[in-house]
Amino acid sequence: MSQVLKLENVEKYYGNKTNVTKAVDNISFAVEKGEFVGIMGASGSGKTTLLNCISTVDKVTAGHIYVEDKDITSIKGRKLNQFRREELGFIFQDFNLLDTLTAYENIALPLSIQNIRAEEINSRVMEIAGKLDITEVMNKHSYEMSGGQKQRVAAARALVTNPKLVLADEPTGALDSKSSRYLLNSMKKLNEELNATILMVTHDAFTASYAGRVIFIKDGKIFNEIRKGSDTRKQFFDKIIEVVTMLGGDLNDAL
Amino acid sequence: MMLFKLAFRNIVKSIRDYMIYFATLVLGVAVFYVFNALDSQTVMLSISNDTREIINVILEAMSVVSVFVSFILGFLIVYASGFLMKRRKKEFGLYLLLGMGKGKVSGILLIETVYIGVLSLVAGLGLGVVASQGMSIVVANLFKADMTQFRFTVSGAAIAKTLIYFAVIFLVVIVFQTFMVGKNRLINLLNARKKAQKNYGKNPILCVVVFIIGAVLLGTAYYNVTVGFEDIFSLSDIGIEIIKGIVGTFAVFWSVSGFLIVVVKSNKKFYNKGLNCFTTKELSSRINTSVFAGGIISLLLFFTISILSCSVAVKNSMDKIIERKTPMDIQFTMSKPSAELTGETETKDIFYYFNEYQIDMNDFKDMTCVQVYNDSTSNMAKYTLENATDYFVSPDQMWIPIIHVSDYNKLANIYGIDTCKVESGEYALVSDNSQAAKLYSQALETGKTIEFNGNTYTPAYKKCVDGFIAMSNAENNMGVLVVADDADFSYVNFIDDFVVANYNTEDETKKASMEEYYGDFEFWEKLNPGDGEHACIDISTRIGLVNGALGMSVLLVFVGLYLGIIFLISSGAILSLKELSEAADSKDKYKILRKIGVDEKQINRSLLSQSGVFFGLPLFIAIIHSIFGIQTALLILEVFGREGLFVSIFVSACIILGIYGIYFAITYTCSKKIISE
Repeated sequence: MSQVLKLENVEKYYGNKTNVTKAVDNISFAVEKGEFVGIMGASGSGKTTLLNCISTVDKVTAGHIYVEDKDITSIKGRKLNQFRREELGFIFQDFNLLDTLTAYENIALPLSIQNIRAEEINSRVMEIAGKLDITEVMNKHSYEMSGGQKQRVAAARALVTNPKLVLADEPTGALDSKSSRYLLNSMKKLNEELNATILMVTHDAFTASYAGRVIFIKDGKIFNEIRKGSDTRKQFFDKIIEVVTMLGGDLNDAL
Repeated sequence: MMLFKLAFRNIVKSIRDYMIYFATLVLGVAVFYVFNALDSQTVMLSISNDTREIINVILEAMSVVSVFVSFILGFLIVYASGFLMKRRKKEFGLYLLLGMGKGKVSGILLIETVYIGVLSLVAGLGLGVVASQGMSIVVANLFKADMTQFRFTVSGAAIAKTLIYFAVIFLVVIVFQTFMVGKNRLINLLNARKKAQKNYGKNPILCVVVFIIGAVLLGTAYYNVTVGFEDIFSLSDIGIEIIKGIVGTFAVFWSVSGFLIVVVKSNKKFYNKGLNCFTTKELSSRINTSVFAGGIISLLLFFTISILSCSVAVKNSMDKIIERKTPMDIQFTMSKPSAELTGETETKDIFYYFNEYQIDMNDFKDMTCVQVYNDSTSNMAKYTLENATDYFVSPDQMWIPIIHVSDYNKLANIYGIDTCKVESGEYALVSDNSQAAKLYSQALETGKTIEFNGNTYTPAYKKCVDGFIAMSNAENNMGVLVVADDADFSYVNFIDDFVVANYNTEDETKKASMEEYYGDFEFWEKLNPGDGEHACIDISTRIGLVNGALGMSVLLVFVGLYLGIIFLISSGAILSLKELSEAADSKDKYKILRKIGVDEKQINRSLLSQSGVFFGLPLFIAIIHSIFGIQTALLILEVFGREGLFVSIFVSACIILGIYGIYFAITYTCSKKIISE
């Protein structure tokens, strides 16, 4: 299988000469096509910084990030926007839906800024909406939807462009447990059915257990990595908890 | 000390938020000063005595308008400061959370207001003093005064007045702010940023219906006040059209966003292209949340455009009327009781009293005297249609003076206007007021006969004759009845002696000195000692009439400029503040767009079209209003010449686009900065 994402010795430093914070400290890993990878770490472990670097929102201090052999650390300006709009999909903790637009318009927006024909936009939006079970809220505004529906709309917006990589930042952070489970099942389904590659950042062990592989980060470094393999989700969850315990007190809130 | 520092830092920190507020204050203060400092301008010092009197009237009018203006500015400043406070609720919440008392928070606000107030007053007065020198040139132009002795002037009185008015306004602001801080609870302050969800969705069908209703209301109002103007007889008719216009304007603003969405959505290709969908929705939500402000601003801009455009056109038209209606240097009128009333065989006429008061008749030439009869039954209602009973002046109470045709023609010849021909048993109506003439012509068309003292008269003309007896500075001859010389009207109770003459000199300086004598109140007192010996002798001089009209038209131009600029500032400031706060609230949306991969260029274009339409819509509606409104205003004001109109429209367009444009430019630049943070 081909590698969708490859990180080589990525470093991100903050601060000045006298006081340097290594938010990301020499991290390397790769994500295969169709993988569902979770990145776990406590607050301040550097996982969000890492995600920002991958999403080109932030720039790396050193190292390279490849998306399908393309070194995105060397892309600049308008090309960067183009890269983001064509290759990446985002799901955020607080949904980040545009409140003046309906669910349909939110999902259609990434397509219309790529100047795709109206008829095609319609078919693609309705297709992804069907997969995420949100066809009945298509004409609603975000204030008329539940948190779970909003996040599924956000997921649909991230996936509608068929991105090479979907980046999810604490997607269940603002959801109750029932909505969380529903969303994660949907994401898993999309991962399996559409072969979508998902990179999800979380500090929640339950959320992480839906992934196929979990990378643990502590103080900017990779601490451990475990794969689900043939385990059931429950077994995988237990394994994650073991690592979390090993990681120390910081992640205890993950339970 | 801490509070002072904090207050100062706050202002510096939020200088961008305050910029519009500050600019508005400075402009407001400057305009206020300029129009209250008219008297101290250089040009005023070199103006003749007669004109000075008019200037006093103008100044008085300006101070009345200033009270109105101070209310508008007061509301605007309170609104703007309240608006800025709302944006800082969280900051105040933090102060309270840290244990600062509400009194101290109010204290910070008070110090801030004082800082801003003092600063804006100083800057505004500085700008005002400079601008008022420029105003001198405008004034000199209007009064045709010479500007050779230009001198830099500052009016202490106007400065004092400005300081007092604005001090009061700022005091109100402080009270208002203290009240706002006092009534808010901590939790509300801290959560202020989490806005309540707005309802963006208006029923699109309802919107289309309301929009069409609004458009129809406006359309019929436009039609009625222009094409259908002939059918408008009374103020209440115009009032109905005005109400239609106002309701229509608000209806359009209420529905235009929904209507816009329906229209844009119907063009799928456009709607699904780039950020068009986002732009449309953002815009419509913004318009939806400012229906009231949008309507008001639209109407204010309409007034501004109309007042500015009309005032100059009216001035030009007045100049023309005056030229026609003041053909002689002086006129005297005396109402004398008829022989019928006094029972005496001989009545004392005006010349008897001229002689008695020893008036030098050698001062006059071209003297012409005519007799005008006042028959109390010759009311206008006789000639007007029945549905015209609610016309501006009740026609029952307006007597129509009666004059013999030879007397009228004597005047017409010396005035250089059309004479008329009236045979025995006939009558003609003479008027230069188009409204009255219209009504008369309608009656004359039908061959209306009238009856006086048992005699019946038939119309000599099918139309009202254009003309006048008395000199005036307006087209206000509401009607004169001209009858053949054999018609006997000696039975009436009062007969006016009406005398016109020119000064018997060609020398301009001598003429001026004669004018100074005869046009003065002292001369009037000489003719009217108030001993009850005779009825009042009225005197009008050409110069007096001209100056009166000049004062009127200059007053009109000044009031137009004053109110126009204040309205413009207010509109610009309100739109600007709304737009900026909206930009601050939408910051996150643009962040999302950037993450999705929208180019900066596209974002800026979207922002530009949003601000452009938000600012442009009220102006657009106002311009459409004005196209019809100006015509109607000119019809009402009886202005027929269109020569000056183009120039005045051009000038007012420059003023409007200048001020409005500055607000738009500042707003767009600032909101671009806000969303790119």
